[in-house]
Amino acid sequence: MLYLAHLSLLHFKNYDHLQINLHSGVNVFTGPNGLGKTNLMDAIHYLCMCKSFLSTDSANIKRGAPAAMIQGNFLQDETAFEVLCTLRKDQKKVVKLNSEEYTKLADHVGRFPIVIIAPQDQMLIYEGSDVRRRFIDSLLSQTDRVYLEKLMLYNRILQQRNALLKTGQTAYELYEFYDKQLVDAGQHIYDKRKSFFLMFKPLFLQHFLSITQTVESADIQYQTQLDSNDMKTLLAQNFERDLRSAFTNAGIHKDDILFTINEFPVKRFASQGQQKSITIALKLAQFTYISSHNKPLLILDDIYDKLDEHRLTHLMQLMQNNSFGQVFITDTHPNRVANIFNKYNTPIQSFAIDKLKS
Amino acid sequence: MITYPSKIFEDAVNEFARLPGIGRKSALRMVLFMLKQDVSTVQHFSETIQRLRAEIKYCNHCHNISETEICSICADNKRDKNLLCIVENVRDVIAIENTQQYRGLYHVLGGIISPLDGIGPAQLNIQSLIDKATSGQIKEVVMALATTMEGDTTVFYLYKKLHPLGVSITTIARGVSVGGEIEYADEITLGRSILNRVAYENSITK
Repeated sequence: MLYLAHLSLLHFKNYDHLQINLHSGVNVFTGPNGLGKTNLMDAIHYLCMCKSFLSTDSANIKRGAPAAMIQGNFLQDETAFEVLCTLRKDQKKVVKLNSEEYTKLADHVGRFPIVIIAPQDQMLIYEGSDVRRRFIDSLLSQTDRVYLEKLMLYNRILQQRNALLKTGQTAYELYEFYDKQLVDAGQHIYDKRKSFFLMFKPLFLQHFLSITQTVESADIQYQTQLDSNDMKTLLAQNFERDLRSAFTNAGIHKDDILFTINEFPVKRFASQGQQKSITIALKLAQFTYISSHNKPLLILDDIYDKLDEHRLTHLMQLMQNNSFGQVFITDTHPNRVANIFNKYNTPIQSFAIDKLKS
Repeated sequence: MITYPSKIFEDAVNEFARLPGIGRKSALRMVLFMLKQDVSTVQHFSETIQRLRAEIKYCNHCHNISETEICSICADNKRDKNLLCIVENVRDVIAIENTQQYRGLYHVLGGIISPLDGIGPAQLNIQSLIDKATSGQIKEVVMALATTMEGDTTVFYLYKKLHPLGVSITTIARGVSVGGEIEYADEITLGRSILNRVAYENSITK
């Protein structure tokens, strides 16, 4: 099992410096708002994903300091790994694994997988389709390198094609070439997304059912123009329109995920509570999906006060069944989480954030 | 803002700082170096630069740099006029010439097609290439462009334009570098090398 044994911070966000030993099971961080619970979670996120889940790199250096450093010691089946992430003002960030620097950060992403459940997850429902595509892409890229390469190629060609459309030139030979590449990469990405949903959907439904314990029937649908026509036909059909609108109207860059409850779109018709159930089920499904490769760390940031009885029970059952590996939980209330875990006889390691910092 | 001891001095720093890759600190070093040299040395230096701009032209045939209307390569009678190598810029001509393996002529495009950077076919020396191919003297065109997406785009575009004219079109080989270990070759290159393997008889160094 993978876990983070030790974390050390220097000039990261509101931390001057911090050294902390972590438990391989459940770690709970409590304290009032604004002291840095979420920032601590963000540091762990950095070690796994090379980036913040909240803000840009430069915003994460403590004010007045020239650089920030996040260092973590992972243990996986008795093997130790040291990850070091250094952020400097106006310079490229550096990530090292066992003192060896990565030339491509993408090589690190996925090595120590992580799933985070946080209030911002609501964005997956509210925001534009790009947020939902990024959710699928980041999941697939972590487990499939060819997917990432095809996706990068697709986006590059799409940019070139759109730039060409903007010039208004009718260089058909160029469109022919770009379209051929888009068809090849696009069709590959479509196939991968399609088979991903076949695996992902049952995981999602299973978690949703356990969370809600109701007769409500939720559904998650991969929406894509490629279901009705293949990429080649789509490009051909839309070519005149593309020329007029000066961008590419059809393709996998228009894909979306549709969430429904009782066949109504969640975005417009669901209650706050239903939306929360959807996002938590989505994230737990993400966790289960990645677990088949390598069990991720799990962060539950600031969500315990918002869980109703059913969601709480489901989460705690998963904890008891050892479905999770290492878990990090933050909460404003000093004893709430501890009391819940006591009730379920699950041992935890508690940290009061104000004591950590002094 | 840095203040300099003299206006002339400052002007010189500004001029050097225009060069690609040269910042103000490097420009300052260069100016101080120039000041230390003999007047005649600096005179020679600036005359060379002036002559460079005034006397260097682009070859009417291949767009390579040249001192005459037709460059020395195009004017060379011993070169194979049926063979034409397409390159992106003058640096590529120099690189291929240094291999001493090529005896045909060149055609310098002046860039590769990338609409994102505002470069389309019209911005490149493509019409003159088509004219050349139409004239019927060229039998083979060798594409020696970067193996990037933009390079591939350009090759495809040229292929579409030249193929109907009846010229044979080849591209330089892509594969494992000479002296390279298989295990260090990147996957895409290695994969292509396997797919485009060559008959051993053809690979024996001649």
